[in-house]
Amino acid sequence: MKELLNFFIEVGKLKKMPRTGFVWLGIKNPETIAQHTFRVATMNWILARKVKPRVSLDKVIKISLVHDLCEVYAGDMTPYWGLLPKDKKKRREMLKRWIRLPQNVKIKRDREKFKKEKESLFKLIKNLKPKLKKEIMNCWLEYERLSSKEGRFVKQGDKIETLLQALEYWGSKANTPVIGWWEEVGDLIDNPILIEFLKKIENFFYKKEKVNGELKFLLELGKLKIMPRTSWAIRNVKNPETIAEHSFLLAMASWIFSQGKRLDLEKVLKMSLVYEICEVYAEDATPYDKFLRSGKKKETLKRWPRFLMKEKERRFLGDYKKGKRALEKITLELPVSLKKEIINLWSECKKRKTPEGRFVNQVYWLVTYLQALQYFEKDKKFPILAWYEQMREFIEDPILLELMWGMEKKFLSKRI
Amino acid sequence: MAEKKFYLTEQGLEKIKKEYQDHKSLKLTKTKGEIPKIWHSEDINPEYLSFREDLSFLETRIAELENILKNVELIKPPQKEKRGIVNLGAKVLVGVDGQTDEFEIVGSLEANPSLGKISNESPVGNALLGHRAGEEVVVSSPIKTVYKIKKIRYQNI
Repeated sequence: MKELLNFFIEVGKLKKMPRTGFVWLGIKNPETIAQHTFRVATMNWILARKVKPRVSLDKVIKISLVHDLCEVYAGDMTPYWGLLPKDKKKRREMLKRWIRLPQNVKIKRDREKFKKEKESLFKLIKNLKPKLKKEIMNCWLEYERLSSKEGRFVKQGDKIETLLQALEYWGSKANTPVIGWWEEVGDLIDNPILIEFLKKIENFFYKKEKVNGELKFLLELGKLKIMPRTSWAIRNVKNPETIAEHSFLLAMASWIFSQGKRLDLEKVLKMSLVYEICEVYAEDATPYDKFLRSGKKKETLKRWPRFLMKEKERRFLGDYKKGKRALEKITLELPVSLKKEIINLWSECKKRKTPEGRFVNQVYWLVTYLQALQYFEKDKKFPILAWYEQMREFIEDPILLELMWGMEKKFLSKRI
Repeated sequence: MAEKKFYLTEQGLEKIKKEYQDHKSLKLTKTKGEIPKIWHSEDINPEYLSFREDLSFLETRIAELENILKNVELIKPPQKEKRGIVNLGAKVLVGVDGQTDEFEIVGSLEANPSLGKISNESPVGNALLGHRAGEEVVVSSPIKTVYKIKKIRYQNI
């Protein structure tokens, strides 16, 4: 358990790692690797549904979640690593275009990058159980070496998501670095579904055509990358975790912690990815909302708010309805079967209706608690007691409880 | 290894039974009607795939529900002399640090803490079991949270 927890804490560092390419290009507060991975995983899932012959969706999601894990230690090695001039202006000019190199240089650089990243990933997973370690490494190798249809799909989807983000930063104006990403995808993308999706991106950003379907949904999801979680914002946490980052960790944790359980993994992964997307419109509700308006903020936030059953029911139903309405809005333009699937997954989790729903719901709280404990470690004034109390009511799965005890042992001293 | 027992309230059991019946009739309706053809020109027919997906979802859920119904243990109100003690099915009013909270102790299938229904396997649910009104229950270290039991009641009594 200790190894699992340590691995997970290390993975959480991706929430604080901005994507190098965007930093170099002068974007203020660019997306983090965790934010990027969240949308890569969701995008690849919903587009891979259409691929024929079929690809394994749980594998697509797992590979997406794993594809950048090596960056925890290796850093974000872009194709420009080691080649950029020190002069800022020259650097910017170089970054504007996709880098072109002779094939023998490409092969040499690829080998070096591969070696460094593989070592980094190995360092990250070395203490995990052999089966899990092998699974993570294989997922990464399939992506890196393009050795399976799922790996190839994720690699291409990864580049498209980056292009989409670049377009969100710079728009369709001429003479921006976006051209570099267009050149990159032009070299790489061969999957018909992704080619069709790229066309939609082009039509929307350059020909100003109406956006619909999956693209509209994914653009909405992009808002979660910069949307801070209310629970942290109301507690004045600086640079708080965003919803996209939390969702990435939730998916990762749900997968890793479900080892050995009889659960439908594909469902668990999808459920984790969609559980918080309603926040795009519903806002991240907390049980404190009413109190915060009353002016007794500081005192109230110290403890978990208590209510009678009827009031709990009223609040839950209000929250559920609001969330469902928001989900209906965000999924409005998706194919009907996907829309139905997403709403059902969310509802199962929210209401703890199925084994997968009960599990992911508890993992959601556990991952939140871990972040709270990390904030507490940094700032002892952080009101950890409220979380501490709540977790003892919300978590009951034996494996998750064991992890929770481990987390408390690591982060809470005996005198609180 | 013994099968896991599923503790359910009467209401919870009714819900599971209804869901089981609904899923079974849905499966019947789906398989009774015209099954979409596997091939649509040269590609696999998307309607067929969606049909298979729905069916496999239904079958998994039906198997899950059958397992629950096979291993169910109904939560019954305790005998008169034991009604003053917290057990499964009890609604418990507690005082926590000057605030009042209310829980219903249920099995994990029905637990939804946002609705006040907490599992007998959660640390708080588990700690409250076996205690009486007036007693103070301390829930695990390192932080001492005291739950003072104010009132215990059982439904349908």
